[in-house]
Amino acid sequence: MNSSSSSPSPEEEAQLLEQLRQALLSEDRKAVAAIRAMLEDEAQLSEKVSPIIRQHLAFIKENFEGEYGIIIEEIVTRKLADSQDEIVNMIFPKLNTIIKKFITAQFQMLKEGIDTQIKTVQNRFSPKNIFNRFFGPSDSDIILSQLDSPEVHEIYLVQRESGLLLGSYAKEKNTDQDVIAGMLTAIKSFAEDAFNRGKEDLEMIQYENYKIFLQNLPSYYFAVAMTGSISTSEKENLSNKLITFAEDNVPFDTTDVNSTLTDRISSALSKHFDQFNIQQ
Amino acid sequence: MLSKKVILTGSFGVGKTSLFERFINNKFEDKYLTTIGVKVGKKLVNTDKGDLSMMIWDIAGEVAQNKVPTSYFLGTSGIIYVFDVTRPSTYRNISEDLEYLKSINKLTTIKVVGNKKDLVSQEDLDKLLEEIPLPVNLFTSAKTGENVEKLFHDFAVEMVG
Ligand SMILES: Nc1nc2c(ncn2[C@@H]2O[C@H](COP(=O)(O)OP(=O)(O)OP(=O)(O)O)[C@@H](O)[C@H]2O)c(=O)[nH]1
Ligand SMILES: [Mg+2]
Repeated sequence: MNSSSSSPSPEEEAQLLEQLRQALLSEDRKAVAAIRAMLEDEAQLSEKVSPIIRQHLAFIKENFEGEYGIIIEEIVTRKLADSQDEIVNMIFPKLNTIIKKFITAQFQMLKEGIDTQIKTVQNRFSPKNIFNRFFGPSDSDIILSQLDSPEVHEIYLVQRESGLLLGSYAKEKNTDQDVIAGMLTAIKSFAEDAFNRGKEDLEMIQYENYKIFLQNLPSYYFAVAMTGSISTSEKENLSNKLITFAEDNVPFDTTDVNSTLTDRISSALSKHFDQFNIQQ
Repeated sequence: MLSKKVILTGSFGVGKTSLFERFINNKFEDKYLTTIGVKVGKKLVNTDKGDLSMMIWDIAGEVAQNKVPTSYFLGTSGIIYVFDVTRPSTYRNISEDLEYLKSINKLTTIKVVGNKKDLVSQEDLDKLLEEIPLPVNLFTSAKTGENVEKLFHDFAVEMVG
């Protein structure tokens, strides 16, 4: 017994340790062996793993866009950027025909647009109404259209932006001149805005046999309602006469439009244009 | 007597023409006939400070003010921006619209008017005032005539004075 109570020999120690290991790890060993067996047997493995994979696949199917969309988008974007030239070469022939078609369609629309715009301009401001207001509702249009020599019927001097009447002259009495001046300004503004973005002034509004000649000056314009046909030299004549009139009779600053000013300009217009012969 | 130009603007169908007709001819039409282009009207307004010949431009309504030919707003002494108290879409862009109008014509006075007052209650108006980011000068009804005379008369007083 003495020998047994003394410390074990190295062999005995190793044997004891092995026994301890066996005791401690035998359960784990069994489990590892089972796992190994399962991994090696395909049927067993599939039974365990398939449901999980199936579940993940379902998840991916459902959430692909949200989970991976951005990443894929980035990849595609990068790829596209890298191969721009190839893509252009590929798409260009198709694009060419699409562009051609598009431009043709746009031209067609533009053409139709202009047609309707012309129609709307006519409706909008109803030239017939305006001309009727100028010349009265009589049948004078029929008679006047037979005479070809130009004749001035009414003259309006209008502040450019506001459309306020600065003075007027009329062969026959017309009480609506303020309103006509406003309407004329609206037509003028509309036409200038729509057709050339205000870069050029409208010079003539024409409707059937009637004409309104417009003489533009920096802060106001003249509108002369006429019948008959007017030659270039007659137009020049009229234009000169109007400009001279403005220099002599219209104050430089017409900011505030009041009746004292308009009365003064109106009577000056009568004086200068009552006997005016456009052909001289 | 002074002459001044005033323009009525705002979205379509808000009642610009109705305000114009009520003020100039004291008439109201239930039928909606959209304005094409511009209609110019004139009315003499008498004030304590003097008389005014008011030239009023009633223009076709546009959803956004930058669709209106710019030149219409030039040379105006007053702009009346009309919206419809029953249609939020007519006052939703009010800030942008007013900014735009001010940028075109810095000198003009702009009045903001909520029309068709007869169709809503005072509570509705109070709620609306909370929603609108800007002060509303007046609520009007072209139908009953309420505040229409006042709208133009107030303007005339400012212009004459
Ligand atoms: N109940 C009520 N209806 C109104 C009032 N003002 C206008 N209306 C109606 O609203 C519709 C449109 O009115 P308009 O005056 O033509 O509107 P507008 O702003 O001139 O419209 P556009 O010319 O298209 O820009 C019409 O049917 C009017 O009868 C109002 O104060 N009360
Ligand atoms: Mg209208």
